[in-house]
Amino acid sequence: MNRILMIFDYFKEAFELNIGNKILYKPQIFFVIIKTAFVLACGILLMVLYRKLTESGFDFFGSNAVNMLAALMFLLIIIAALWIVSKFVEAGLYNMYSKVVHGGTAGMNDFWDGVRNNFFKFIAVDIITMLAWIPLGFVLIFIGIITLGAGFILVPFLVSVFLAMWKISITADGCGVFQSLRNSINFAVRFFVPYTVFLIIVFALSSPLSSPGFGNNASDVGDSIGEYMEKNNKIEDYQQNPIPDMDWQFSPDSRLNQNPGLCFVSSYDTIYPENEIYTDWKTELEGMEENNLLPKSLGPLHEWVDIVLVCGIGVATIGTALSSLIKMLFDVFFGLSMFVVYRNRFGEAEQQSEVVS
Amino acid sequence: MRNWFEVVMDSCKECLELSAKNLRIFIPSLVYLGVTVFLIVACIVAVIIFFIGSTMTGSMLSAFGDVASNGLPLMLGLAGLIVLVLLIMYSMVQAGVLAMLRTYLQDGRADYADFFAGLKKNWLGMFLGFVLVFLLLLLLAIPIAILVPIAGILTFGWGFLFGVVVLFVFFATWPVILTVDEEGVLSAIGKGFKIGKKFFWPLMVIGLLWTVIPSYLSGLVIAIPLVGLLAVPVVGTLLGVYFRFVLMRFYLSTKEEYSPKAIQYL
Repeated sequence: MNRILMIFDYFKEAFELNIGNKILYKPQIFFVIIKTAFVLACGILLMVLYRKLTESGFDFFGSNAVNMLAALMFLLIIIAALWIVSKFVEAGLYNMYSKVVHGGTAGMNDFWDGVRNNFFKFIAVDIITMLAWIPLGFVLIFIGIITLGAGFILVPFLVSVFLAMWKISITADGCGVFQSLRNSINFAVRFFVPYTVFLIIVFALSSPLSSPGFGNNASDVGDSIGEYMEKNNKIEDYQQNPIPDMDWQFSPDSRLNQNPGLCFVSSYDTIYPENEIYTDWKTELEGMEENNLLPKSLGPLHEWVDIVLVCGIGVATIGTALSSLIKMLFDVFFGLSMFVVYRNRFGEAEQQSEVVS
Repeated sequence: MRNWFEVVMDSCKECLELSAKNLRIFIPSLVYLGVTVFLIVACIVAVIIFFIGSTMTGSMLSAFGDVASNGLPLMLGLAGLIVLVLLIMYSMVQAGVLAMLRTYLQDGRADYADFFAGLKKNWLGMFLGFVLVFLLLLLLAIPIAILVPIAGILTFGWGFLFGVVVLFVFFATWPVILTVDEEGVLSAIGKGFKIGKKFFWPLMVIGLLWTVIPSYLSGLVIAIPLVGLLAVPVVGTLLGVYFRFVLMRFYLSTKEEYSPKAIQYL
């Protein structure tokens, strides 16, 4: 029980360090700016690309499958770029946390030292973790089935518990990737109960909008694009909303120059060809076309699409900036807390120092 | 000299220690949970039996079946009655538990006698307070319904969470004030609002912990086969009592006579 009570003292210390070292926010704010700029640039790029393609009548993507593949590749490149930048910031920032927690004052030199020493190690940790989930995935499915579903949530949570100190050990102990993995697991085994209580608080507050198990990494700073795309999943939109809305702008079609209305139809046709509402709607549109009721060139409909697109990009940009800034507050605080916990080892470090003295 | 965060963390620490020493403080809330679950299950079973019976036996229960199928007002009235009974029970339990917690914090003992004394004294005030706060929230429903979704969308979901927590900050302290200061309902709600304004950030931290930790833990324990569904309300109840305790401890810290220094730094 005493060890669990120590958690609150560690939070107090982390708060003091947090208040006294505003410089810790500098790299994070820099990263938030990059992330927001990325989202804004992607939005503008997509809009400009779409406009150019449709105006020239160029059928660049061809079928919808190719279109989706191209969009996926584009998204993957953005996520990979953001992930690399996030590891860069994380490596430097962790070194700053370490300096602050071990009694020093952090400066931007410590940030660059951290990047030099730990950047590739952090990349290696993430790649090893990702690769490890491939065989572990089968084990997880097996355990999940034999535990009637409990394993699907509890196993990833336990894995997070055992790996949570991996990067902290790399930074604080200055050791290699595999030695720090051993350190992290040993730490979790030695202080399992208080450490799990501590991590439940950390996970609950650093990712309150996600469910337990997966996605608990407090330092996953590069995920807002993923979250945004997940929330705006195009396939889900098609499934939930039988009337296609804004998604047609991602399916440039040469027919758009002749008739924007039927461009909806042509791109939607391949996804839900037998949808009743869609069929009625398509017939209605075709009837309107026959009676010359639809605009023959890019007209008001296109302008309306542009307005909605601009609003969407605006919301995505503001959302990315605000959510990243909010998350930053929790990330810095809990990052410091993790280092304080690792340094004090739930009172064991103090006992050892007393014995030595 | 403590800053506001230290006061909150010390409150959490002290209350965890005290709760672990005397588990009796959780019993009334768990009993209430058991009764609520039993009542809800009993109602569902009764309705199922009623409908099955009326369709199977025809003549005997068909009159009741007609009333049930056609009489929507009757069904709504029954549901309202159940909600009213549960709210009265909830008010009684809250009044008792808070009185028990106050005695535990101030005198170092937690007896059921304190629970029943508090129940007798404050249950009506507590009930009226819940009704008043509900009506107040109904009045605020339109601005809340506009502002919270906008904030939620613009922050990718964080705004929804903070919206709930801000409501907590202004409307969570009054039952504690009613119990500790023995004030009237309106005065307690007004004072609770002022306390929320004055100690916004510390209450925000307590509210965040109270909102997020039970939901995260529920997400973990719900996965446990067979007992998961039962474990979720149990976890919520235990943490609810604990955070009520923290809130009371924090409120006492802000009172000059309890900790003269604390108020200067909060």
